[in-house]
Amino acid sequence: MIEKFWHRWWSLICATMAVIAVIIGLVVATTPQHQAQASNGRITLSFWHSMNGPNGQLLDKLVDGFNKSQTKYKVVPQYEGSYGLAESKYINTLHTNVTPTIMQQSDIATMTAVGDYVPVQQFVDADHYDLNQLYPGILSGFKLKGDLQSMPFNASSSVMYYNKDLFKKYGVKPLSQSPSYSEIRAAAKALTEKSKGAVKGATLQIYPWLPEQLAANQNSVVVNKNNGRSSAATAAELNTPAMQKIFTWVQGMIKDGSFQNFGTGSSASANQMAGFLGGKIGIFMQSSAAAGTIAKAAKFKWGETFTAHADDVPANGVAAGGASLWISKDKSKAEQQGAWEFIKYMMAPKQQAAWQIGTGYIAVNKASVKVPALAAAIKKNPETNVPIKQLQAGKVNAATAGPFLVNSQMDQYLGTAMQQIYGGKDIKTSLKEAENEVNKGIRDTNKSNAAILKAVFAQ
Amino acid sequence: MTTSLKHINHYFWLTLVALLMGAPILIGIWASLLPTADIAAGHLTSTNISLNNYIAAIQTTPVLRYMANSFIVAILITAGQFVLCTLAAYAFAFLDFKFKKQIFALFLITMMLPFEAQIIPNFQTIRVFGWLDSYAGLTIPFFASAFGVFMLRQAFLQVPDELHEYSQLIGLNHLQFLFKIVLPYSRSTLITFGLYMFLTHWNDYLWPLITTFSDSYRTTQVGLKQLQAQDTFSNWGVIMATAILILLPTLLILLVGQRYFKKGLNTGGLKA
Repeated sequence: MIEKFWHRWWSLICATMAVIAVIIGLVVATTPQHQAQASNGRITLSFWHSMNGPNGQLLDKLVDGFNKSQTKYKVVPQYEGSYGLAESKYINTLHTNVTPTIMQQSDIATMTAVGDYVPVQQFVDADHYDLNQLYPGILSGFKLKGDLQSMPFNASSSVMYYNKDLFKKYGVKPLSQSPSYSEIRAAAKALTEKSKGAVKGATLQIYPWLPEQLAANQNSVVVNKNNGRSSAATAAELNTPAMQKIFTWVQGMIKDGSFQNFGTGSSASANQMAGFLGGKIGIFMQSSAAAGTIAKAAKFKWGETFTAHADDVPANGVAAGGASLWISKDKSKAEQQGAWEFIKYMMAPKQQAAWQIGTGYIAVNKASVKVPALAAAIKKNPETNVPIKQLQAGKVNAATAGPFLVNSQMDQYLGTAMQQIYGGKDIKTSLKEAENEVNKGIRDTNKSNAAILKAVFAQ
Repeated sequence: MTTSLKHINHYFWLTLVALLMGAPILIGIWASLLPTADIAAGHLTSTNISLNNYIAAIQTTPVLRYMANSFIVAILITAGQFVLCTLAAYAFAFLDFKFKKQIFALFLITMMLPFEAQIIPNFQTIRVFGWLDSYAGLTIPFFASAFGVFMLRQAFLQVPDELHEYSQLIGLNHLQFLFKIVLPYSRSTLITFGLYMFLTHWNDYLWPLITTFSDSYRTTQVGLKQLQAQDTFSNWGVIMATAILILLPTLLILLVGQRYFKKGLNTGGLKA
């Protein structure tokens, strides 16, 4: 009844299963613990970052340069998704086998509240590292009570990008270096009208960082207590004359029919980029870190200007965006020292120059502009230096330090307000509602994290 | 005449629906042949059709490493489930013990609990074990499967009682009976089960997403998401090429195992 063939076959299967079971056992037994094992006598440092695409490739190259420059440490870069995703991974795996030695993160407020890092200031002091070689306007955002918490490696600022070929084609005057709201509105209107609607003049993505920057440029803070820098912020300041001016400007362009709304969601930013690259958008505002991508993909001449300023307020400057490098507390002294060596290498003029050329992030080291490669790139296209010039021209004050706010719902509610305003709702009502909601969130956060916040500001 | 008209009518609608259902994949394949600059600019055609995206995908992304990881993970899980589910299902099908019904009901209850609800306790467990970012953490939580036990028990119940009695008569012990009679008898269910489990775990997304932290252990589905840029701009040509590459093993398994998939799903509940 039972054929011999199947007999043989099944004993083979059983043998295979046994072998696989042994393999499983071995896999479990030999699972590496990811600690800093010396590979070829080197200390391995894992480095979590959020750079991908062309920026990620360049980062890998710079890390490779560090690994080749010395024989003591080996940095292993790992892309962990967006800043938000990387941060939640980091928080959920503190003190485990995967905790990175070096972490790139933009959310300074949450990282500080979690507090599982060694302030970079300690290494700066011990090593007598000269912080004056870096731009103070960028450092200020990463300081707390005067101490540098983390090293701003990839700094950016918001800029306006515009399609020069479209401006030329429709006979519109190119934007000035520091355009005002009315200048942009007039150019957007002219582009739309002269192209008979084929081109939309301008857009401002529903991305709360943008109005925050536009407000900073009018010397207006977003939360009280000096943007939450002197003590924990207790209230948002959204319904301000500065914010009202921004959205009056946007609603004006919407009325002109020269404004394109790309909506919200994860693809809004990609769609906006596609619209610009496809020659369907005249002007848009984005991080200077988008320049590397545009340079690679745009088949037309494009320009970069300072962040737009309100007509009656001189430009105050914007907050440095981007992210910084943090050194984990939960690591041996040798590993932390390695992380500091790595940070020093990445902040050197040469590396920062290469980083600016390849990505559009700002070279944080003042000496980078003298590096021949960057000097040549700036000479060839002076506009690549717009983000730095903007930073140098800007003032160092509470507004340009940017808001310091632990775990708030600012992004969510300011985003909602933007959506409502773009849909035609009254500006003051929308902003007031958003402000109330954010205030509720801030009150809850402050109440439940009172001890942490006290510790943060007692440093 | 009327039958052929009927045929034409049927085929017309079937082709239409097939095209509709297949459109995303067809567009994906087409996009994988276009240069990214053209995709970004919104062109549907290009003078530059080539396999360059595939070459770039293999050379510049760790897609082969991701695929190897997915393969290892899916094979390990399938093997682990084979061992555990076979033994558990045998017990429920052929042994008599106290509270058998109740314990089986308990097994079924875990089937009603979605995996998403178990993620937090499972994550904490492997975190404490130090299994984050390892094959152990990726596979071991899936070794026990109530669905597998249920499916195999149903298959084993179809082994005729006469065979069971005969094997006892000639003095086979439990393991001999299992290996020599039960497993060969249920081979089509076992193959279906194996293919099904392999496919399910090849396509796992959420668990690898939250437990892998390096390219050494990342699986394809998570890796594919990584290729999509967040705020710069995505290299869509390469992403599509990678997606098609990842699709190939799955398609192969479906083509080879189609017969068993249908068979397995049809015979699952014949005899309760």
